[in-house]
Amino acid sequence: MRMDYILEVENVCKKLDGFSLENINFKLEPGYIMGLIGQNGSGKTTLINTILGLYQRTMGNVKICGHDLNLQESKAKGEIGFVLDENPFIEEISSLDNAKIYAPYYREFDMRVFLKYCSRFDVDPKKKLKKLSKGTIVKFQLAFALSHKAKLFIMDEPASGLDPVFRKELTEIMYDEILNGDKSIVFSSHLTEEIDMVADYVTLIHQGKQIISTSKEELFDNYRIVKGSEEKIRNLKEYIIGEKVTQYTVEALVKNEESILNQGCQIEIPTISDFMYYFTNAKKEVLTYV
Amino acid sequence: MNIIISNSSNLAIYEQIINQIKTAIINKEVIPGDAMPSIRGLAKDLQISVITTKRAYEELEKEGLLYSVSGKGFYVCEQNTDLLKEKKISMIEKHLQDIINECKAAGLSLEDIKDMIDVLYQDHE
Amino acid sequence: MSNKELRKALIVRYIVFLKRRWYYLILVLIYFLLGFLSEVEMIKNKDDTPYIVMAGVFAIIGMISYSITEITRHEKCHYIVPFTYDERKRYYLIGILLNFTILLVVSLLFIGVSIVIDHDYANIVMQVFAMIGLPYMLVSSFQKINMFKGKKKKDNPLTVYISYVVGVLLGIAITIMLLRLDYFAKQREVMNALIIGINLIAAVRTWYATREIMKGDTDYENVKINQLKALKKLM
Repeated sequence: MRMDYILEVENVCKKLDGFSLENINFKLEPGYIMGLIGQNGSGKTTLINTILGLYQRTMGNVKICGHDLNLQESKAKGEIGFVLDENPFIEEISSLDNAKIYAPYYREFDMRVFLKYCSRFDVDPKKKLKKLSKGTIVKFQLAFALSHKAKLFIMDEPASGLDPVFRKELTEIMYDEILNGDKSIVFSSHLTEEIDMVADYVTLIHQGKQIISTSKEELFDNYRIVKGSEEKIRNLKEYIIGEKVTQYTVEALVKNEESILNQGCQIEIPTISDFMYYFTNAKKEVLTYV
Repeated sequence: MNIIISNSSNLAIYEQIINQIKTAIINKEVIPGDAMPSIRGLAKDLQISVITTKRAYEELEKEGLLYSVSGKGFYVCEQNTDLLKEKKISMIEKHLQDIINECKAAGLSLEDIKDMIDVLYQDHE
Repeated sequence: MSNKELRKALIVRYIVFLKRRWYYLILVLIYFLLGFLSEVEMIKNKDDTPYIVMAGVFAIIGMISYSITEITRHEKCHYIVPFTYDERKRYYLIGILLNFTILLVVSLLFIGVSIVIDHDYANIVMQVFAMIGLPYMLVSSFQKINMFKGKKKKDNPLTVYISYVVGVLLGIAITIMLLRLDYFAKQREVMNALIIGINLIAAVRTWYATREIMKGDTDYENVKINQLKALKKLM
């Protein structure tokens, strides 16, 4: 590999009217997939826009394939293939016209590749974007992103608006792109099933702050879901990240220490959805030692 | 060699992979020198993270069951299958001990346990 | 990107949009045709109608301003694709030069044509078109505000919507006025002032907006906010 990381996000902050993104820190190596999770409004889109250069960050550094986003803007942006929730292309014209207009900015854009993908994804290249469904616009963006030899794919809620059949195909495409180990993907989703499956790393954003950023393996190693009576759960207080009390059971996300086995509770491996729920609702003190 | 993982098992996915590969080696479904699927290819087939497959392979490498060739992938080592079988058996013994403890706690007698084993063994065949 | 590559990218964009806006082209051609026909009329009749000349001149300024506004279309994608601030500046400037060149060529073409042709009612018809051109520019320059937003219409602040409505109403009022053709003949100074005034406003607004875009702010979100502030001040 000619570089250590495809994406480096260092202490990135972005202040907007009424919202700020603070101290986002993570690095992604070539060949891996990072899932960005968080509730709606948590800052996933702001972070993605900042990495793309759509927003100027207030502080911190962003590097794509070793190129600084500000100092080597063209080189950095040229390596990015994007699929955004809020379509940035011109709605009044067709997919093909949009591709014609924006292809010149990329050194490696291949129109034949683009048209092949449009055909494979069933996107009519002559139809105006505003006449297409949201899912089809996502497919168009994907076709465009795959047509200029990008190394880093950044996708904001790519699965929303897609039917389950194409969602599966999107997952296949993501695996295929990763196969050689020289490209990486960052995608945000509030559909945690996708993250559960295909992501290697997970970053959880809540209210503009990075709660946790680590590999899925580490998450699954270090935490467990315990279910049992209120009493038993209470005894595990020092390991609890958060708990959920329902009519019939008490459930909690705990640190995976030996002692949790003593209570005789039912122990399970958490899902990404669990992590999102408990970390988002965890009390501040708990988060400091996470 | 078929690897099937279950999301509802209480074993971590990488552990499931390790177990199944070990079984395949013991049963001679794969022999020394055989190439394992690439870590990325396996991740794609199983629809899991590549870090997980990498971890499983690296664990197996540590245990001396696989060896890696830089740039090419992982291969099955020359095995002392007796040693492997021994390891497997002691693992099973430990499981059995746990189960026996649970049965005792539930009030089952040795006879009950034996009966249960009979029934389940027949079912499995 | 080199200037040559920028020019190619710009031309691709123009061709794409001209395919959609072909009627715009026809309108421009008719506008110019009638403008210069009336020039001929005036010269032939030695008619003292300086306001038509002025209308022509300021209409051209209006058209140029409109073109600049069109070119400096604030595209969200420009902030995502590999396109630096410096390249954007050059892109806009090349666009302005291109438009200017096209306008000049068309003008020269029509000067040639109109010297040959003769039309009796070109005078009045030209007045009519001059006035129609203005409300169109008024309405469309307010429409350009949407281009600065990049967001869906329902995210617009209230003031912007109000000025959009005002622009449309003003445009309709002017168009109604022009239908009363005898008003032209009697109130020349008013017409003069109106045409000059509106074209000046269009030019100033465009200059202001262009300046805002050209300023150092490369943050898409902040550019939007700054432009809104600037535009609100103008209204």
